[in-house]
Amino acid sequence: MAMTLEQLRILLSNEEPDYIKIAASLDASDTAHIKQLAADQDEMLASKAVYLASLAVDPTASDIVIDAADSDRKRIKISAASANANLSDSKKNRVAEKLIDCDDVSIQKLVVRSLSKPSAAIKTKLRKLSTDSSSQVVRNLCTDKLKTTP
Amino acid sequence: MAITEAMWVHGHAMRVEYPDRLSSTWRAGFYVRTVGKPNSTNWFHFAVPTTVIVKNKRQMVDSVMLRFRAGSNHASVTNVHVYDGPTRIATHDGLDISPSGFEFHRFNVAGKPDVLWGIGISIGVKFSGTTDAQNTLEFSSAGCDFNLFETVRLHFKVLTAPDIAIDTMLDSMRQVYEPAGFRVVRASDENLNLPDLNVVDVGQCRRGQTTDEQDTLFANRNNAGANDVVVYFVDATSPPYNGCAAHPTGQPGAVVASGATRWTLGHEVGHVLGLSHVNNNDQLMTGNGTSSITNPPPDLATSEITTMRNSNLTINP
Repeated sequence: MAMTLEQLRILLSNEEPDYIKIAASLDASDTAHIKQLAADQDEMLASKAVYLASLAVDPTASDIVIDAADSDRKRIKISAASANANLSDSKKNRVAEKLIDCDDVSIQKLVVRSLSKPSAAIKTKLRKLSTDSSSQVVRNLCTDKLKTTP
Repeated sequence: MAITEAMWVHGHAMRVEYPDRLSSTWRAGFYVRTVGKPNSTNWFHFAVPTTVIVKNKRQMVDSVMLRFRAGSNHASVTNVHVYDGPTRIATHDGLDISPSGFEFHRFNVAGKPDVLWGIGISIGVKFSGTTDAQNTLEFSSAGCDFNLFETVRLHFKVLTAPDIAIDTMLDSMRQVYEPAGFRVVRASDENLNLPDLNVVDVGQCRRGQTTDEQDTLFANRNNAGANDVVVYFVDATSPPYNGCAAHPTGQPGAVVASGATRWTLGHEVGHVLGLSHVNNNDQLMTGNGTSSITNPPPDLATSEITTMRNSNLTINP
């Protein structure tokens, strides 16, 4: 059911939005509103909209996450990394390619964790991170991911 | 909430910090009259006799009061600072109070600290008139109210400092909790260097359900007692929330994201104390986001106050 922009804004303004419940009430006509909120000046609201986009049934909504990975705003990048776990394999790799070289352990952690079928290019980066990352957690995640993914 | 103890002193007790800046001081039976020299400032001090323990309960400072009047709006009280022994426990600056008749003014002491050494009230004054009549201030009394509040003890663990200062968040929380009878004590602060947990996985943020990362983060409880609440200030949560109050059993606490609002701290601790969302933007626990709060400070409903009182995390005085 299509929501108004204001309805969606209120739902996402919750301190702890129920993303699954909100996503279940959306249809393709809501994607434009999600996209608009993902560009909002309020970074918390925008980051929540990016995450919601990853759960929307409309397949084009995932482009919001892919675009968010290019954002200059750190919270939006974090949200894209977090949302990546919900995307299809091919789109996960696109987001991962944008974020995996990011000089931020938190983002790398989320990206590596989100991968299910890493591309050859991403695997190369995982191998490098598995030895070079400053974070033991990221190094271990990369090692495990390389062992457990095709 | 009933005041448990109130102490007053007569205006006669006032001491002047800079006597040379006054044209005259007159202690009459009614009050102390001070006449300031033109374009002068000064500090007046009242030492309030303080019963720090009553019936085996250490008292908490609620507020201080002044009763005074001014000869004109060229003589005014500009600051009220409250001391417990050597420690300043409240500051009210930027005031400009010049009542033409004797008026009672109350000044809150946020945080409601335990009183340890005795209360001092320091009053900044300004005289900008040209005549003695204009530059006259008369103080009849000064006093302090004490109370006993249920207490929530918070420990702050900072991985990333939030956009809105923690002091502001705490002050905002106290604006909501104190009128409801809850004192919020900032028991300790600690910086945590845990970059792997700076964006912490909180799953769906459901009460009683925690992720491995929450379990690891919440194990950091240095200085915290079993019934103390630990708040972890992180860069962000995954998925993105303003905060999340889900915590491991026996480790009460919450995370607050760096983009949180000034009310998020109080809101998340409200969850820890057992409160749920409501559909009312006048209330702290609104489910529409604390950024939507109208009529700040927001309220706590009577039923919510009861729930908080029944929590084992609010400590009886």
